[in-house]
Amino acid sequence: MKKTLLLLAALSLSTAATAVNIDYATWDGTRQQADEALIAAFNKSHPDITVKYNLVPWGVYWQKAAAMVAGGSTFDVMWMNLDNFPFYQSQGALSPIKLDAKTAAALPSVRTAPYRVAGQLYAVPLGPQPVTVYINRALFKERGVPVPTSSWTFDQMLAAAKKLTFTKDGKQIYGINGADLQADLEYGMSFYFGAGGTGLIKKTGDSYTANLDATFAKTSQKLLDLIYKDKVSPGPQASTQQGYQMFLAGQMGILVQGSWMVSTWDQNKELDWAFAPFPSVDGKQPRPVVSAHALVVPSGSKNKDAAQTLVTWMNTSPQAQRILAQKGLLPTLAENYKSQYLQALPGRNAQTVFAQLPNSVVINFSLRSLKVLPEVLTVLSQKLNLAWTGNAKLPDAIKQASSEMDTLLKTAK
Amino acid sequence: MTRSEPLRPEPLTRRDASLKARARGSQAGLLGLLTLGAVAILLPFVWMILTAFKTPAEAYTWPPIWLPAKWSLANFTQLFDTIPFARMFFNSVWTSVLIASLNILSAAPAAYAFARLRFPGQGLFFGSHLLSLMIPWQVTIIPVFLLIRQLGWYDSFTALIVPSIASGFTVFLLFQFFRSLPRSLEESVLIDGGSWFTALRHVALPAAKGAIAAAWLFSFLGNWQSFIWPLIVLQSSEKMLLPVGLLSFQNQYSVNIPVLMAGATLSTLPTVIAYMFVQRYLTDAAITSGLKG
Amino acid sequence: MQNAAPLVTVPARKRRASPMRRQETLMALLLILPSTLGILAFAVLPIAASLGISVTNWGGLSKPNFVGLQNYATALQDPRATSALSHTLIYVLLAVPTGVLISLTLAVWINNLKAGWLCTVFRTVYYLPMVTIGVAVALLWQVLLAPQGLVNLVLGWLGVNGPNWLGSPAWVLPAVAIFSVWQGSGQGIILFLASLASVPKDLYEAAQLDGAKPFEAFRFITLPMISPTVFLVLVLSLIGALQVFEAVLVLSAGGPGDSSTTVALYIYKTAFTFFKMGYASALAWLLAVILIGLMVIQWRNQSKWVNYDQV
Repeated sequence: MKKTLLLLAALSLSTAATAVNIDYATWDGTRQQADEALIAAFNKSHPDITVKYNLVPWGVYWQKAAAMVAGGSTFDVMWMNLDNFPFYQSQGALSPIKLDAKTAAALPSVRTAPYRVAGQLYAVPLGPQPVTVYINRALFKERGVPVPTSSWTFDQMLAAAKKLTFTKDGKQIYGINGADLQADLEYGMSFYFGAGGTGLIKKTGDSYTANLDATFAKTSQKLLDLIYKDKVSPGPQASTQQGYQMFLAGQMGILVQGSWMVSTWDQNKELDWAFAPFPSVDGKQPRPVVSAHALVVPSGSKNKDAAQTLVTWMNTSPQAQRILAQKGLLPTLAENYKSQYLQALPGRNAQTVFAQLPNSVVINFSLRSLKVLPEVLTVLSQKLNLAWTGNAKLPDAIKQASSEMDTLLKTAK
Repeated sequence: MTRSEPLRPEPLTRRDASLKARARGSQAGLLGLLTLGAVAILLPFVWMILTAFKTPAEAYTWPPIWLPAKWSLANFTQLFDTIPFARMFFNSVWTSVLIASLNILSAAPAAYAFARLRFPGQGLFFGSHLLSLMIPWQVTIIPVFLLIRQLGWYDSFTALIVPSIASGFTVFLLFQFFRSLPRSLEESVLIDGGSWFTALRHVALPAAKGAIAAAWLFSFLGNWQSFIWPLIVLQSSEKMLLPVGLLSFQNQYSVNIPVLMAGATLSTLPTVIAYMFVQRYLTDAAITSGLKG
Repeated sequence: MQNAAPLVTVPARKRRASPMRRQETLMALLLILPSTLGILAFAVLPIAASLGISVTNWGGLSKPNFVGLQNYATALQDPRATSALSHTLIYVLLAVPTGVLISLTLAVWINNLKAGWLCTVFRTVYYLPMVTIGVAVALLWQVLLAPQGLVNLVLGWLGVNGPNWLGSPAWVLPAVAIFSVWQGSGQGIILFLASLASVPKDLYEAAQLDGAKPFEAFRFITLPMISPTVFLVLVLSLIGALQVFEAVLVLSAGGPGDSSTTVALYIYKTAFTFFKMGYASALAWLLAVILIGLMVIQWRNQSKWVNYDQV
């Protein structure tokens, strides 16, 4: 039976002399050039498949995805993230992906595991997207602050930020983007994990409870103090631009953001930026968060074979990964293309990105099957946001978040 | 047409000169107030246009600098490099014009019938039009999408245009206008043996020209602005509309404000020019129709 | 749809002979046919479907299960739904009266200008915000409403210390309302101008001869004559404001905390972030019931102040 099916598939492929058209959809516009280069290379090496690039803006990506999947007509290859994967997978909207054993074994397990359900792989992870620290070297030099080394600590970072907060030609320069470091979101959470945090929701037996423990409270307070006590970050009364905008304009010394911002920094050729090691908290090993986006093939796709060929090629072939690394982006098997990546970003201290990868954490990956997870995280984020914007006291916000999270979690099994 | 409100009679003892002076004074006052309002409206636009010429570093500098150091067209170049701006613009214009026109063609007769005629099921049919205004689109969008799929219209302009032809908004707007028209003229047409159709065509429609122009404009702009529905029913990039294109400069973690403002500037200018052409019909027609007064 | 029936108040009119009535009915059905077909297919049908969805636990993709009225019961006890409703109502109270008043005032002022070209200029300027792409303009306003942004700069000139508009729970809804009034008052102005232009000039002349003061002329001539348009603008802004979505999504994303999460935004999140299509539909229906209720009240009350021609 299986053999005849394969034979039929092979036949249909060979008889279809004209190319199969497949649609590739992403929300990441910062990667557009790299994606188009990848697709051009793929179309060249696979004359039987023609891939079309579709950029769907982030703000409406998931609504478009939901409508398309519900309507049974979809893109053939789609970007997927961990927040949305459990929903689509549990609704049977994704087609399982078959990889040969060798390729599958080579995939980084930390970012593959969340996409494996009942032993079956439903997505192939894209390159890691770690939270990284950027510094403005010109500002460091100007203020006589030593450039961070791999033993950089939170306290040293704070001291640097204090020196980097000053006025220059009537412009306010700030030390660090504290407003972005809300402790329950990926940038702030990187410090929480580094301080020994174990996750914001705890599973005991079959039930879940909020786990906003002392580590969380302490780290949150530290990060919040950057704005309100140490005043090295623009607070809600002062900030007009977002952190990355101030960094881009050369008005911020330290920026905690993601590796994907590299192409954005190109917009300001005069910006003297570099990666910096993630600072350690309380002498512990830094554990920055890494986003694990992936490529999926929706079960509504009419060209699953071609789609799977593209997914496999894009995320596992040496050719594709080399192209990505040469564009300053981390490919799936990042370590194997380290030299190309470093060459693409000369003098930016890019090796620190690799140094931190082995210790990075995927947020909530063990809780992904929890149906109310998006809601619980929304509640938490809203409560902490009140503290971060100076509209609530942190302990109150944590207490309220904890009790509302527990209420929601009670309904979950 | 008689108004029943009594106006207090006062002896005609005023001197013309003082009246004129006061009128001039009040004109100057009006002008001053309106100019102040106009400045409030225009300042954000000035900022938008200036930003379109700034480098990202200049755009994000704080405190803000009003003028770019160099008037660079780089943002416009990047706009055209990243999205097929001209095609998206063209798509947006022709679909919005077509939808708005079909909208008026279907809504004007319906609104007239609801306002003037009596027929069984009137309340029910009019109620459905009103209901369509009151249900948030967030939940009907999926059922409508499923319907479009069933009809086989996905990724075609049909899917964009046909569901938008009938509009509760336009019907309600014109309904209000027809209701406030004086009945006397239509009645005289009817008494002279004319049909309702004659009354509509030769009396009501000409009288409502201003309202129809306004309704057309609103409908045009409604479609010109909409992005969720086009995004969902259209897939091919060569069919995409402008708002969706502009939105692609907003990434998950960052927005390219200067390029976005370049796009917003370019997309605003032509509509402003078009509006200047349309707008004289908005009120003049109502005056010149000669029905009033 | 029993709510809809009393909405149309057909003025009493002389009964016509029966062939005439038949002709009228036929004519009417013909006139409403295209619009009604469209509304039935692309509004009523999906609305009915959403009513159906609201009694299930549908997530959007898999097979729905019938859960009866459970979603409605949940909604009535959902603290986030009630707080979203209160944010929406506060926003409506802030935005609707201000918007209608401002556009009426501006329209009357423009209409009173003697120089025709000035009318054209102001009409165009005040309409400008409507012709831009809304999403892009909202992003622009995010910058203008910053603590030291343009809005507070202008307030500073007037000696007012502007608040942190988008960063404080107390000011975020007024900020969204300011944006909406800036963006949307052009629509009201156009409608009012069209209506004002149709007020016969000789009525004013007569009033002036009778010595009426400008305000009296406005109160006793203009206002009654344009009352149907006032009603129209009021109803349209009310419907728009109760469903406010895009402005809060782009300007504040519902924050800080949930202080600007309106019902429409909560419905959107429930449907597309929390994947509870059934619950979202129930919430939408509850919002619709409130909307319809307010409409019915407005419609019933209009006879007290709205003046349709009843010759």
